[in-house]
Amino acid sequence: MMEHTVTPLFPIPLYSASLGSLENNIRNSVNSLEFERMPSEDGHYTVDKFVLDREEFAPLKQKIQNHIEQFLYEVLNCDPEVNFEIQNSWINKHNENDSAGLHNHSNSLISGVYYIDVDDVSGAISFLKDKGHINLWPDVVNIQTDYDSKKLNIFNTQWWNYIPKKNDLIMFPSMLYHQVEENKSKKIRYSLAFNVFPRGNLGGTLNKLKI
Amino acid sequence: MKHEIIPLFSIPLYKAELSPLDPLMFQKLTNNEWEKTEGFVTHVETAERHLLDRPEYKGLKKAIQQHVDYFAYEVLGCQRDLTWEITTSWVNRSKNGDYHANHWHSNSLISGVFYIYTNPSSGAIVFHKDKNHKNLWGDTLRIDWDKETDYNSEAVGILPKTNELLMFPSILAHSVLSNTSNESRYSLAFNVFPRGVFGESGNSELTL
Repeated sequence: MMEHTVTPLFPIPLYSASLGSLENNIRNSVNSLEFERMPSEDGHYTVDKFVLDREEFAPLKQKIQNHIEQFLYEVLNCDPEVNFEIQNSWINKHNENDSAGLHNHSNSLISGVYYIDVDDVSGAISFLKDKGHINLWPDVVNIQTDYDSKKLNIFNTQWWNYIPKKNDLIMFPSMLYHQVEENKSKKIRYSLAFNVFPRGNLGGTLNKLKI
Repeated sequence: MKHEIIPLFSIPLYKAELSPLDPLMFQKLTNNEWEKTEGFVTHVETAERHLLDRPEYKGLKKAIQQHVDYFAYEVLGCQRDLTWEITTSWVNRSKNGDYHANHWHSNSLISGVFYIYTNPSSGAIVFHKDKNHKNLWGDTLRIDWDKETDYNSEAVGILPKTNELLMFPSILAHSVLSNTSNESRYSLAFNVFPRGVFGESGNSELTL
């Protein structure tokens, strides 16, 4: 190997951390929530789209909020005068063979997922590089980089697969397209998704905005 | 709190250090016929645009080519039946007050710079994030930053050292800050393009 370094310039940050396991009363609450089939017919989600505002979820919401603040203030170094608030939050339920099609989250800057119950084959979340996101060269010249899947990396891949573990929390910019692979497990896959938006005074002088 | 960040779909900036040049080669590289190129530039460049094709620079070209191949095949994992050819190469000389305005290199996929002679005051190279490169959120909402990081910066500056080699995708816009020292700064720039069969056996097959 030749001695060298590679600096990843202008990356899209994918944040991951492991939260502790859910307290029993929260786990029981998940089971008692009402679910509905998604219009896309590939999974269920809770009728309540603000589940983290429920009293029984307050400890979990606080844990997630702590990581949101670490991501926004410590990693991205956003202005500490701006608050980042969880807006909507819902639980996805994927039975065997359920999946989630390619989508992103509007009316949100940061989105996240907390994995309540998953196993190794219940479906990775896959992030897609946008067609307009050129980090090497445009498609005018199509150079194969996937002959050897071991060579796929953050620079040359079109997709990034993240295989979640139970109690993992991930966060990413909401504009980043993603999908969830089919659940190949007999076990139901539960994940809690949420969106985050800033509140406070943004900008100054000509572009000042209070939201 | 323990966490991990994966820098997805980022632009690779490759850096390595080459062996010091022998004094004779250094002498040759820094004593050339210079010309000023068109456009908003202050520095001068060699009239010769295929400098590395000269027999006297064979060893330097080989050293650079090894890193080009490593970058293309090992870092970027490109198909091995393509060859990566240094197509153009020239030396830049920047005197006190000279700088390079924001630009990028066309007809090239990978570009690079080998620093023949530089000092801490002779100007950093600055890489600029394209306006269309959205790695967090668009400009519709402008949130101030406490300090610059890899994720929120609009530009990244690198202060090169003598004998360092940098390589990056040619589409990446870059500029060079003003040389504030009294010594001339010499750098060898080059462009690289692949040759071979692209998209073999498909309806987009192309041989270059």
